[in-house]
Amino acid sequence: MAKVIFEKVVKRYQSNARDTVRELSLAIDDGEFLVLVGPSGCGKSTVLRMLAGLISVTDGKISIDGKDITRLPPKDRDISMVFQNYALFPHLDVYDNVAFGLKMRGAPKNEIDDRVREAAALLGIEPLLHKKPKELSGGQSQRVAVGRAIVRRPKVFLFDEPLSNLDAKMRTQMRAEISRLHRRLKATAIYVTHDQCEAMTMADRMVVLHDGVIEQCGTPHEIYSAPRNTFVATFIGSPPMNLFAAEFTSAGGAAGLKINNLTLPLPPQLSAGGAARLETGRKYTFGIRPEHIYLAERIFPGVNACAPLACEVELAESMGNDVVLHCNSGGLAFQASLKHDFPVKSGDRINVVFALDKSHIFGENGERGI
Amino acid sequence: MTTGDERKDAVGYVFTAPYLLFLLVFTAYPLLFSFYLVFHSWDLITPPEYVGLKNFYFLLHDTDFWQALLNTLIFLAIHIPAQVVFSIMIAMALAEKIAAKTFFRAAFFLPVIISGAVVTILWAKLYSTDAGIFNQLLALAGIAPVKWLTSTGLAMPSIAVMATWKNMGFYIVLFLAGLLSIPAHLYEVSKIEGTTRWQDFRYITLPLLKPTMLLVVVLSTFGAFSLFIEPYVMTGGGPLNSTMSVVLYMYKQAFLFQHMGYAATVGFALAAIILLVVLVQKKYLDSESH
Amino acid sequence: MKKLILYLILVCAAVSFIYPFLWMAYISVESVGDSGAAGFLSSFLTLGNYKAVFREIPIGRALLNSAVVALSTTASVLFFSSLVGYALAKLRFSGRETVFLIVLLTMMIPGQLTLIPLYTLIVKLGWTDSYAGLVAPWMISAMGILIFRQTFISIPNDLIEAARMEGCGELRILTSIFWPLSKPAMVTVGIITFMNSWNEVLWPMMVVRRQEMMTMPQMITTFSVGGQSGGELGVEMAASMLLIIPILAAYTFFQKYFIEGIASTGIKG
Repeated sequence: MAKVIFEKVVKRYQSNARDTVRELSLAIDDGEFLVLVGPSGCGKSTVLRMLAGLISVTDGKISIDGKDITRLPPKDRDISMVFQNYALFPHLDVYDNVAFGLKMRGAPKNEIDDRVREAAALLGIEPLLHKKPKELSGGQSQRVAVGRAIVRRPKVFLFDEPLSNLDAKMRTQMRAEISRLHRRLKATAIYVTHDQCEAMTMADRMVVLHDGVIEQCGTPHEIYSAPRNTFVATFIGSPPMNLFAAEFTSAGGAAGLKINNLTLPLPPQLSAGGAARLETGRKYTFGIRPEHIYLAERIFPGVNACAPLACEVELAESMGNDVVLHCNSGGLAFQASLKHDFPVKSGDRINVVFALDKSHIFGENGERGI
Repeated sequence: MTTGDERKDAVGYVFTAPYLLFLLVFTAYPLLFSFYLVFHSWDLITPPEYVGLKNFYFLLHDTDFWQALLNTLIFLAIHIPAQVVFSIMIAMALAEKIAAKTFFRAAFFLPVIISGAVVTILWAKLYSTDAGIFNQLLALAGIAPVKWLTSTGLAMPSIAVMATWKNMGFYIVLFLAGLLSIPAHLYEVSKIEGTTRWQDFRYITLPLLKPTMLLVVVLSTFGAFSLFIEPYVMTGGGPLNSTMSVVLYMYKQAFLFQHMGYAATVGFALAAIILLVVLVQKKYLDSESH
Repeated sequence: MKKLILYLILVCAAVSFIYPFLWMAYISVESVGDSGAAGFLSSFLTLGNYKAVFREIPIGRALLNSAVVALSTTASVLFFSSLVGYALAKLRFSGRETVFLIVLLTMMIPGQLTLIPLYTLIVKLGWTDSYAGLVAPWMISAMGILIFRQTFISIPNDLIEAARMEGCGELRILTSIFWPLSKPAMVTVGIITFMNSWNEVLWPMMVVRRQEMMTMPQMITTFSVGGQSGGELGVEMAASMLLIIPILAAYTFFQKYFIEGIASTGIKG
């Protein structure tokens, strides 16, 4: 059982500087895999290091299972951590690296041996036990680092961008392995990354951080399908959501959104009564994800589409299974992501439609309108 | 306001505290006390007596002190040029592609690691007028024995030769490092220009060895001013004070005559002279390279 | 031809550097009564001179004193200098830069300036003729601090954080992570300190008068200069051999560390 609670936690590095983390409050459930994601400098590593006890907390309180740990040194917090550069001790072999924490705590020799071998079996690093870190590949090093973290059976696991030094293939593999391991150990885990793909695939719940503030917290699906503001909308999803400045009009009796010289009908989720909350002449932001833009002639049945929009393909980028089109329709630039079986090339003129039921409306301040 | 950085803070003070205490007792206190001693006369038994500038006045008129300083300059005048010339020569030989490089380097370095006491005792035997190897070699050539350590003119140069021999390995290694840091392509350029070996040495090697040269000169100056065990063992400072070094003189003032105040004054003056000489050397060698 | 001259120079130089020591070793084992004729063969090799050294002067005690002084000085320098080096390299505390500056400044003070006051301090403390007087003033070295600081700075902070997470205190991090990771620096500082302490002669000659507290270099110096050897060359050389053998043994194993360490720190014996 390990429930981690942050209460109005503040980190200020220099007394007169801007706060790196601003009154952050967050509750992490027992056994949850929580991912902290955000651009570099957003404060995600600072949050993790405050929880680890590696840096001090300027103000506020952190507790694990109701016990205030804000002022405890790292070794008394019952936490372990996997570092970005693995942080294996170069002078110790794999066995001693994994056993290090238990030895420091004076565990009996045979218990250390049992636990190290158990962890090694779990991670498939038994053949490596007597190798030195410099003889290991990146993936092997990361497994050993994970082994060192799990062998103590701590209440909470911390991961600080653990996969960013691995190549793409190894990263995908280790991602799955860590997820599998977490399901098996059922311990609370907090994982920091700047890679939204890792965040989406691994998280039970994810927290999007920006400038030391939580922008949104929720399951990957919630965050993807209902981003709370334009920052989250563009940070999560690749290629990013298209955003257009829009104006609410009710000219000619029909309510709609005016974007440049194009007027779209109100999305269905707004027209039912949400329209009352929109004001004529005010500025809004209309958002549509690239994967919710379709070729007019290949539209799926049941999609609530707007009228076809003629545009020029300025660039077609093939991603293998997808193709990303950089489109321009009379000065309105956007990206669309299509399945690869459409024979579209740069320079083609095509007609596209927006799936209005999948669109997003944000207020003037960037916050979600409905 | 809590854990982390501040906890490290406290440990930082704990870790440096022994050093600061050590510094206070064995560096700061002696340093300050030397300022006290130079104005006092003290034999360690009766209480120190304030004598004002008397120690300095006496120092200025102390021919033995000036003799000791002059001896050190004679030592330097022989030691530094000999050291530089022979060290560079051997270092250049070692920088070539040769076999058994490690062996040679280790052999030249051997005297550096041996106690000065042993080297001096050993060389006192080699310099011996009746049975020393130098006079035996001279005898083979039909030359009469030379009084290496017992004539006023030769004693100091003899000591300088021995000191050069003892420390040469150290300077060879310094010059070797200096030589190896000169980029090889500079010599390739000169090869294309068709320069002679001497021109290479004069216009490429020597100017680029300037920083090493400065280091060598400064370090051997420090060494020369701490000359002690060599004259102590070989000559006791004689004959006729011709090998008296400043440190030996200071030692004698302190331990033969119990003149602690005056010995401290000698040390004070010596430290001032060392700093002055090193500054001058640095300035001269620095400006020359520009 | 050029190579030939090169080798000729090197071989001559090498001979001149090694020969005196060979001669010394040879004289020390040559049978008594035949010594003096430098370099000429004798038919009898004997340990008689070494036996004579032990008979005539308390050389065993001097060896013990030297070992105690050099080993405790080295252990102390390694421990305390690495402690300060670690604090300067990896800990954040106000005043750290000041301490670093002080370390640099102390290196510029000529030893001759503080020698006499330091001696009077030892007298006041009542530490003459004692191990304390021989060791205490050399227990921490600024050079050692600098070498350790330099070495420790390049060890990644990750390792410190990982060790803290795994339950290490700062002292534990120093001894079980930083020491093993800095073996070359430890060996270099250790060797230089040991060698300087073992070979040091001026300081013992100042603070020690009683024969049973004398270190090796002091003992053989007094033996040789004081005329105790009675002009027996073989015995004098045997005593000298006893002084240099430990250093020679260390030199054979750690030659690289001796040469590079001494050259890089500018300290000579």
